[in-house]
Amino acid sequence: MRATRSDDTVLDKAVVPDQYIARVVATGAAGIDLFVLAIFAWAEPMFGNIYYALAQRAFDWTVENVKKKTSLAMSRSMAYHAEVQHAIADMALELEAIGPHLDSVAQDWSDGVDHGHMWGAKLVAVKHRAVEGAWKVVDTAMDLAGGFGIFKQSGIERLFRDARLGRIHPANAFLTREFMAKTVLGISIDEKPRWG
Amino acid sequence: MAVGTNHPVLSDDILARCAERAPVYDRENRFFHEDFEELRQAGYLRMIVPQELGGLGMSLAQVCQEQRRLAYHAAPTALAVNMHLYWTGVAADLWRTGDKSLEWLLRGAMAGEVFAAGHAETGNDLPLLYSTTKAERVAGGYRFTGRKSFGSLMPVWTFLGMHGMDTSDPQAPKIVHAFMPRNTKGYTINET
Repeated sequence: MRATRSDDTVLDKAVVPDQYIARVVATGAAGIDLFVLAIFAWAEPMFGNIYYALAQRAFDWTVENVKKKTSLAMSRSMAYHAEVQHAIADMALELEAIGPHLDSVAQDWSDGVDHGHMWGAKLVAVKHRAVEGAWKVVDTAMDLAGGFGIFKQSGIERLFRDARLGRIHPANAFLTREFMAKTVLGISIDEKPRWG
Repeated sequence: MAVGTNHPVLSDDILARCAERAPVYDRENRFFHEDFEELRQAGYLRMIVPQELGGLGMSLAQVCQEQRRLAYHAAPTALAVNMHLYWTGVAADLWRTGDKSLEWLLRGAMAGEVFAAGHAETGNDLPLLYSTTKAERVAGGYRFTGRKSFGSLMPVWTFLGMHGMDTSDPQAPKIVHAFMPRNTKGYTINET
């Protein structure tokens, strides 16, 4: 994701005038008003879709590639190798689940469906499933590419590096699990101490 | 229904060119200026602005499909513009509920303003809800001191959407969400 040009910003007494102060809210979950929730609502499913699409590209490339790959031990292409078929199936099974999950959450938000206190957890969950699944797909694509996959000219090397970053964007797996578990257990995110 | 429903905002030609440039940007480790210009001209940065304000009024579900198409061809480009898109999405959602407090942002997006996001911080595992950046009330605004990690769109943003924590009342700390104009004094961008 090098093209994003993601640099650091060091703020040293930078004054922002009141006209550009969007919200002043409580810290923690108590401060989740529509402004804050909508940040999650737009950012999380879109993150998910980006990594889903990236995985789909890696998948499409792999499907074409294994049809061309040969092995001394095979009479036909690697597409006839049982383990290759197993891996291709695993990738397809992942992708089959990610798309509809993303679509339903985005549609629910667009339609104003009331998921009540579950909304936050649902939004981080869909991003989590998408990026974790996408990573599995791209990791398997690398397996199926063989040694060629690590070379720049394969194109898979770049997708592989990029796909890993989906798991770093907020909410990461730790936070997703904390949100989900506490939400379904009826524990406030703001409760102190946080654990134990 | 919004205009964009059955007509993708980006043509296949634009997407093909983005796909062609993606490996070049990666290899040269540089910002996607050419993609950005094409997206801007195609109206991609205005697609979420409500139709009443001149945009395409696209919903989250529709925008997700657009982002999916773009990311298939150039994922880093889609990821970086995601930051601008989600700010316009937040503003549009509020606007539709009758809260016009961020209408300026939507009008700004129509006029070419670019919104980036500064939420990531070292030493804070609850982004958005807490902050290691200090926000202090001063006459006419808030003063921010802290470090925001890897924010996309650095070369082109005109407003950085960010947050800080005001702990002046230790019993009731507050999170201050602000959009810092590019020409603000008191910040530096450190290349990563």
